[in-house]
Amino acid sequence: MVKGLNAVMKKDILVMFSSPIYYIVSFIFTLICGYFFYSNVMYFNLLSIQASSDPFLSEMLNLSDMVIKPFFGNIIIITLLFIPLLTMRIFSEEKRQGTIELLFTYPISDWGCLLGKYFAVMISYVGMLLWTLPLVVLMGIIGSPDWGIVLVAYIGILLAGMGFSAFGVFCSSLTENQIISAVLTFGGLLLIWAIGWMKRLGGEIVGKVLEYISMTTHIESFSIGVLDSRDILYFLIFCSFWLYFTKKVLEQRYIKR
Amino acid sequence: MKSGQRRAIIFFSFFMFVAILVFVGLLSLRHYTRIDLTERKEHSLSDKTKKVLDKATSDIELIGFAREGMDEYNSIRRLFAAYEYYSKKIKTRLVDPTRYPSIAQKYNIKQFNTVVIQGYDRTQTVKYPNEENITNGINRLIEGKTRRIAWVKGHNERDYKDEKEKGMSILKENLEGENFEIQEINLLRERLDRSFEICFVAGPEGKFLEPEISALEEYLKEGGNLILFMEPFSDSGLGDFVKRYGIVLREDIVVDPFSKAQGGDFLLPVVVAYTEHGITRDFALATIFRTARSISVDRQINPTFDLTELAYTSKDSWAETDLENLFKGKVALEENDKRGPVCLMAIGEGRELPSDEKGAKGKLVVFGDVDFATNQFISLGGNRQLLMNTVNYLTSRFDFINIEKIHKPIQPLLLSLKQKRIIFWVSVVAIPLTVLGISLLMWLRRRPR
Repeated sequence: MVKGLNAVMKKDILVMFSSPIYYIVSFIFTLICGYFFYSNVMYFNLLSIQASSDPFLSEMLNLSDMVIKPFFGNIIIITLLFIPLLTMRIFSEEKRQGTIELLFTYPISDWGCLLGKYFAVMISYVGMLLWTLPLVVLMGIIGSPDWGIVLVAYIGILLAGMGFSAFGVFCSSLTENQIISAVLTFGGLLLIWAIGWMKRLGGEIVGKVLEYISMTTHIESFSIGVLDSRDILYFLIFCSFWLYFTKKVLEQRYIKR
Repeated sequence: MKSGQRRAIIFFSFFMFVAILVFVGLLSLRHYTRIDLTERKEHSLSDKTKKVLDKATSDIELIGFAREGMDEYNSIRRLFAAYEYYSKKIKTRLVDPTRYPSIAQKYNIKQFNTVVIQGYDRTQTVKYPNEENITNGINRLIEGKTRRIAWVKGHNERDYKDEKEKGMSILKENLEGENFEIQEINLLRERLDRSFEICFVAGPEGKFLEPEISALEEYLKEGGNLILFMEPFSDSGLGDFVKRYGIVLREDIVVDPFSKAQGGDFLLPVVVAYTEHGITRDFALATIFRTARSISVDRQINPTFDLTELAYTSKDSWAETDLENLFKGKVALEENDKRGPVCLMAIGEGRELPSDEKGAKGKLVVFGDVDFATNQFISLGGNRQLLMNTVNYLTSRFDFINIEKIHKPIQPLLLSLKQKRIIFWVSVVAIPLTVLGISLLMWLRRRPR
């Protein structure tokens, strides 16, 4: 076990739950998810009515394709918008208050400190995500979704959230201003999300590299119900890179031995 | 330790770590696992495809031509991923013809959503890339059999080498793309045997002699596939021949006012309806004919033949018999004329019979026109596809692997007003308010005092 991880994690979770930001973020997150779920179901209901006079349309009516996949696609985008709000204070606040030097003088390992904070963000994120489960149960009541697709979609959202959080933690380590941290995280994630669109401009190899870096390439398999080790590993590599980078940034600035 | 040395260690360890991640990433691209967790295994290959892929002994490349960003592009990509995952022999790439026209030209790609299968020094072109068609293409490539087509000559038929408007060189190119080899045949001198998978008779003008008709008859008896393109008013002697199998060539010409309304001519009938059959399955394109004669079937004549009228013009059209007035430019539906819809294409399929019984095992397709298949008309509407569907259907029983399509369940959702309200209140109101309520309680308990 990494020394001090538990203590830092507990402390950060307590801080997170003492702040109104987390609650407001959770409330807005569930409200938007609920709204998207409702509008997807209503649109599907409308198409089902129209399909009674259009046999071509009726063949396309599939709950997984027309409700589940778009719904989880929306959740990932919402996650991309909200994760910066969870990670923005994680190091920035400590730096602003000047407690970060103190933190690194405690008898805890560097990784313990870093991972403790990271897991605190992840637990908060999972806490938010759990509120979408009633919507999935509702989906199961009104129709017969493909539960394999639902399971894989949740794994994808979780992995994407891990990646977003790791990048957010890194951005938070760069500045003591929470707003700057959130903007950096959001802008950076958006860029990484869509960098694959630039592949047309580069040559074949550059195009392939950009396509690999882009998150959209790796999220697709999760949206169609396929678990692909390449995509799982991409997110793990993504997390490892940004967490390691964060550690090096902190080492460089604060750790004096 | 000096700060400079420390920085160097930090940078060195960082770059080493990045190098390890890049290595792991590259390794993951080479050795990976895919688990399809969908209920119907939508993204996995069928056992039949796996058997075909197991036969591959050298590399096969699948090149998909589709427009980037379109649904078809993504579905080809997913299909390719399943092939590539199962067999190390399969390499794939996707090409957007609008971005790389030179590659599209190299493979003679004329339409989007085409897959070229390349390997064993041969190529196969697949027009509707689904698992069934791609697997059959791969199978043909592996088997390596060049399929032969006989092209009857000697009666002033249309020439498949002719690149002019009335020629049929485009059809020839399409057939060669499907690994067919066309050979001219004179029925008086050469034997039409079953090594030819199809025999074409393209708009004959001269009369067929008795030995030639016997040769065609023998070919059908042995199980051959005959495609006849019969122009109106050309007495080639084949009318009686096809009648023996229950297909009647009528002495008329099809008039289509609908075509006139579309800016064409009365004598350019448009086929708008197709009977459900292996050739016309999922086929919804209009086909355009020129100076065509009508065809009908008579099931009483030859009960050993299954007859189907396949393609019909609109109900506003008719089959004109008063040619004198027609050529004077006077067209009107009269009593003697056959009212639309008029059939322009029919198929007769021989049943498998015990060896002591008489009858033909082959298939006979008759079109009431040849112009629709010439270079001038073949690219219009669905003409080319109807022809290629016919060829594929006729040759399918030789090596065709039938892969059942995965049908997603049709799940309409018809909600009552009450159900809609419940969904609204639960998803948009109750869940967020519960979160808000719990949040307030937690915050009040934990807030710093």
